[in-house]
Amino acid sequence: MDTSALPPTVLKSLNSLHTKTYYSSVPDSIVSKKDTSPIILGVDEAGRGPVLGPMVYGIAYCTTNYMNEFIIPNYEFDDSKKLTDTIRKKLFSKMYSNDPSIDPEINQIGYATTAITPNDISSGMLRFPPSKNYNLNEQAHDVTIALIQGVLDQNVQLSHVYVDTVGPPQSYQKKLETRFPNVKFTVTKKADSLYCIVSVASVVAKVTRDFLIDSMKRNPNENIGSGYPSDPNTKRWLRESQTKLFGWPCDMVRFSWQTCDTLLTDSNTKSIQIDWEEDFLTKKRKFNSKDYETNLLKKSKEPKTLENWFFN
Amino acid sequence: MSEQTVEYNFKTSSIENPTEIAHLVPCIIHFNGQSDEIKTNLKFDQEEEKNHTNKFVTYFRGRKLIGQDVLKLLNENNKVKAFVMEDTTNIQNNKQFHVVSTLDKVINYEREGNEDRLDMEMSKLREFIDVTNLIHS
Repeated sequence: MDTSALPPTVLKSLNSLHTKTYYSSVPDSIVSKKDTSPIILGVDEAGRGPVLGPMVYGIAYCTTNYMNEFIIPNYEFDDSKKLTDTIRKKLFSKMYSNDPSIDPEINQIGYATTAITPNDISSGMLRFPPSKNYNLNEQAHDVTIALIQGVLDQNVQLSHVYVDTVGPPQSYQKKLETRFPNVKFTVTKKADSLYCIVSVASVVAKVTRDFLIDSMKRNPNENIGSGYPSDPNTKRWLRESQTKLFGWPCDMVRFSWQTCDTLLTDSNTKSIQIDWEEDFLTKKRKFNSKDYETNLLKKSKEPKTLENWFFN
Repeated sequence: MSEQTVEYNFKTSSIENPTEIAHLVPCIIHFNGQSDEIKTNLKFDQEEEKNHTNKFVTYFRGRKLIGQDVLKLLNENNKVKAFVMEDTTNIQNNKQFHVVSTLDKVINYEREGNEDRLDMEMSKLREFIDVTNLIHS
């Protein structure tokens, strides 16, 4: 993969097993306070549902004047799902430059991303005991809060933050208002269609995720699809690349998804049966515990030898 | 009752075989046998190990496993060696075991979230070693 033209948000997370965050520099007009109109910030994510690849949180911020007088009249930012891949990449490419001597066309929007890796999503959601689980909503909220705090830490005086959410907006808005009492919040579903600054965040997140998904291919011809469990190419890849003991590479797949659990416990996939402690606590897999008990009973009748002592 | 002989073969050449790491994982794997998946998949996460002093971190089917080397604890005076043995029992049913390789580490793991149990297990082992040292000194 040619990395020279990749966005800085992608370079930060490339080949990382763990979650990484990238912050752009703060735009000149905000640092110098040349433009004193209120600063708005948008938050959106890409890749919440897929079984493959990272979940990327993107933020974008600029002054209200810059948004109203330059971005809205000149660029077609919209919900990233309504834009084509080419347009999304073209729009984001106007916001960064890998050559420090060249100023990007859109140079007064600051942005940041956090790419939560499949490995961190899975391990957080699959802790033991289950009371210690770090669920996806908590991970998403913590990342959003950290991104906003990161911008505030760069001395950016945020006025209004717009957040796109898939969960209940009221309780989330309350949580953010309590955490950041000096900032106004609007948390709503479909914010990426309603507020242009969220659309910009949505493009930043989506393009970053798409490049990261592309970088996961182990050879140029490997077709892993979009990563959504409903995508036929992703389904085929999951079946064809599944190995008996480990399943899949932990840096690519979210093991905490039901799709993975189904394939790992499907006898047709020849996957080796593995029982975890919670399987016995919840009795979810009755056949497993029964099988284990039967094995124990059988082994206990055998004389103890060097090969079987640990079963008794 | 028939008498059975057990023979352990610790030939020097065998002991010099390549070293391996044994991983004691907190789950039941319904399979006994060889696997070529371990070397490519079971890797230590050195970035994460910086947050867990003297512990090893790896992943198995999406679970984060945090472990400690049992052998290091047992082997403070460099008196203990661990081996992987192969059963080469002959037709007369005399038990024979050959050293296949030497174990460099025996890592006892618990799941992330359950590190207290790992600490408890290791401290109990420490206590056991102290008691046996007292008895045999």
